[in-house]
Amino acid sequence: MLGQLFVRECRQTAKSLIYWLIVLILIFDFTTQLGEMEIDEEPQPGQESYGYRQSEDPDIIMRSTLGQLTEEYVRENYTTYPIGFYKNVTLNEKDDARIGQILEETAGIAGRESAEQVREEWYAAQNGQDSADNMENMMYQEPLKVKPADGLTYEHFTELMDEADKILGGGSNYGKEYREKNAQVPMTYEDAVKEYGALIEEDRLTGGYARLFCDYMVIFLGILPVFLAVTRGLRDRRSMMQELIYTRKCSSLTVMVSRYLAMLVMLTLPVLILSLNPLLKCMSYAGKAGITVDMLAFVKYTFGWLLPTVMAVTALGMFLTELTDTAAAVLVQGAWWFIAVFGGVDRLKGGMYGWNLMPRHNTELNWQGFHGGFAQLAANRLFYMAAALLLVALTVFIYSQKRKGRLHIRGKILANRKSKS
Amino acid sequence: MERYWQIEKVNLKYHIPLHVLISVLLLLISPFLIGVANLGAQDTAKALEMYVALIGIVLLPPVFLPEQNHDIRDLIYTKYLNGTAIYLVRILGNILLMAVLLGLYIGMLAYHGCEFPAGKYFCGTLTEMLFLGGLGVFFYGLCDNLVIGYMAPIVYYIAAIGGGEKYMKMFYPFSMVRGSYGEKVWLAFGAVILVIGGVWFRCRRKRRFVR
Amino acid sequence: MSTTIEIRNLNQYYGKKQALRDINLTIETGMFGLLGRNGAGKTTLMKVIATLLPRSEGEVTVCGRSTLRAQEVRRIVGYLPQDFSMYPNMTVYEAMDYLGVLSGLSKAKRRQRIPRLLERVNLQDDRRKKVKALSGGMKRRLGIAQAILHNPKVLIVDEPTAGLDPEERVRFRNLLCEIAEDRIVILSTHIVGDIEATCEDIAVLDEGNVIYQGTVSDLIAMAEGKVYSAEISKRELELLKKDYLVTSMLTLGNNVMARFLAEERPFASAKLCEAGVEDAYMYLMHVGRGEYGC
Repeated sequence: MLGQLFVRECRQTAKSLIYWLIVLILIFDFTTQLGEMEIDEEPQPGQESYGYRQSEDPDIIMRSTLGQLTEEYVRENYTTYPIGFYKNVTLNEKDDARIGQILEETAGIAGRESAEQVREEWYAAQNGQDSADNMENMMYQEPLKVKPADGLTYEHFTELMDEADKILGGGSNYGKEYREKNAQVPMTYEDAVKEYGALIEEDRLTGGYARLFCDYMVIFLGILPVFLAVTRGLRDRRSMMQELIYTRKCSSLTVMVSRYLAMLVMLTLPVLILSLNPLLKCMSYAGKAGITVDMLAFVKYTFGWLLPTVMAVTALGMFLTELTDTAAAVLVQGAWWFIAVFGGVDRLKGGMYGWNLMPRHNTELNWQGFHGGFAQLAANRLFYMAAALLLVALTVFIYSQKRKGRLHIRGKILANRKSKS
Repeated sequence: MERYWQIEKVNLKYHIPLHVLISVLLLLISPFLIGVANLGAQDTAKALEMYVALIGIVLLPPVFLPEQNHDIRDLIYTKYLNGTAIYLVRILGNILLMAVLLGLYIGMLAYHGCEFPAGKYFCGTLTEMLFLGGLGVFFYGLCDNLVIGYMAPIVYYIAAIGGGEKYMKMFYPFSMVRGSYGEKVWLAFGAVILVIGGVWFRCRRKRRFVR
Repeated sequence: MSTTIEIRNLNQYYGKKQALRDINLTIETGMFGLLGRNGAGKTTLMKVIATLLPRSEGEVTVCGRSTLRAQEVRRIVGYLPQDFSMYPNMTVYEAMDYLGVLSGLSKAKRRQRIPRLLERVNLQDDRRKKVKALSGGMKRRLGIAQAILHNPKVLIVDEPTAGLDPEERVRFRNLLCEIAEDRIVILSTHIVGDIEATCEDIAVLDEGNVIYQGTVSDLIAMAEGKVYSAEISKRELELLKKDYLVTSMLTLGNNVMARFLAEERPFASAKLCEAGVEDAYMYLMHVGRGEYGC
């Protein structure tokens, strides 16, 4: 029964307007973001810049972070990005005093006055340089760097910075991610060659581009499935077919699971078809450059990276629609999407996937970051899959109760009333 | 006039309270998500254009919802006052509600030491709300489907965030963040067309059903 | 396995409101009519039997299976709600097929049964029509076809003739009678004519109580000798209405031919008539409950 229902659900989906709108939006997303994608050439020596990379050197991290802290301590207000939106934090006396203590312990700077002095000296030293031979320095001042206090271990430094981040409400320059992000150093030719090598050898070209593909698709797949799920959920009620279906023999599990599976398949299909385009580009490039690509990379990434998001969003849509009989899921998912996207803007380059519904990796490079963050990514993806299955189970339960006349949340009397009496 | 006030009273009492509640909640939780104090003009614009304007999506598209059931629709449309009038009254009422909520929010921002041209930002944000909501009204009317009514403005918003400036040009919603205001005129113009178009589509459908 | 529906001490509540009061009914093969005013509890009772509502108190078994075991009951019950439709963009055949799958019918069975049923309800030429293009009567017929698709032992139809034109109504009744030959068909209505034409056994519900259960002829017998008709003037009619329940009237020039209920002959010119179901129903609902002094 499940198989036959599944086929019919797919057919229904294929006939629905909302589905084709979703497909159009996915095509639009793909063509605007990746339509003109070109495959990276190997870096050549003597290029002007090879981009920046995050330093892992504790000394560099400490210097730039303490520089930021000194700067903001002097200014008496702090910039944070709790969900990616700018937030300005001013501290009360007690917290301000504690930040002062932390600064003293980590940088040996006692009090606001000496902090101000350190800051002035730094910029004075830069301005004092003969800058005629370096045009950039005239417009761009090197941000303040502060030497850590003698004997400060990196472990103790991280502890204190985590505390400062907590005092500031999270998303500050002193949390783990920002500290490391702020310690940027220019990449050398060797760095660039090494990174490109990883793209060719570890990712076999397609892996890197599949991640980039996922990065762009996941943004829309973090919300579009909810529209399909809500429309499907409301369709029975809208076409006054609920009771005809309720009184059938078919179990609630079969009804809901067939719908869920059909939506997942119908949503994944266009994504897989779209992925053929970058795959072909990679293959044509690889043919010329003599590289063997991983033909299945896009399929693997679509299922591993994108499907859990699609599953979670679809399941939430189904669950809330069955629960409330309204389009409330659209608003809830909209809010979740908003928080997830803005919470992820500082992690675009990959490697820091956290528990975001839409893990980002906005580059075909940085295999190293992907490799390092893989365990977290896998945990993240498995979590959303499990959450999705749990939501589906709850939806089945709610549906089975509604079939028996229980759990009519939107107005018990309304649901049970005779409509023409 | 009294008739129109009656329609709006029913709207306020039965149709819109939940949506107003959601909008108010959205605004109330904003301090936990975004900065609302001591912002400069650009950051204030960001908060208004990228966050507060979203209540336009919550408040405007559901104006057609009470008559979603075709039987109710037929009943309402056979009454003396035609459907267009009902929808326009509701839309104006909801716009007024949005303006009040936005006004209060802008007052709150100013009170917390944000520095920005209040009148200009008020009009700019309200325009964006109308455009977002107008998209919803238009597509709801066109497709007779609330979900599509929500989807249109949400997708437009997402596309704008994902670097849609290149494609949207004068309809780019976050122009005040860049210090540009000319787009708002286009948005206002677009919003009016969208709302009128949406109501027209909605009321045109009734004839098809009566036939 | 028995083909009866047993309802014992059924009470049903919506919050504080009691919709059914201590219902005891035994329903056997054939047509069974549920009669009563709008809001008397007919739909509630049918929904309980169709497992769409959990029963609050009491016991309901359908062919020996408790309604608590919903899935087993659903296997043998077909239900046609009062207000229903189907996915508008599906064709008649697709809609039937979809519901057939939900009923667990195999592909071969569906291929065999659906055309036959569509023919039976006279929709065979409309099988490719979209559901949204069907008229009210066609939709009803499609409704009955879907309800007997899985060949249920029990068919429950809620106000099926409401909104049908007279011709459609007659056809629909006949169809139901045919179906009832070898199964239980429960039909609810507030149109007395439907019952008269189709049912042997009936129950009358009023404010959640069963106020009558038995055969149609017994119901008629209750009103026998209490139905009169008289030709009176329009002014006299007003007086008559005050004291007696007038069940019908026909204008004849300045006079009116009135049919009314009375325990005894009220005046000499009143002629005793043969009672019909409608008279008996009115007698039961009004006179029997002391609303008229007659």
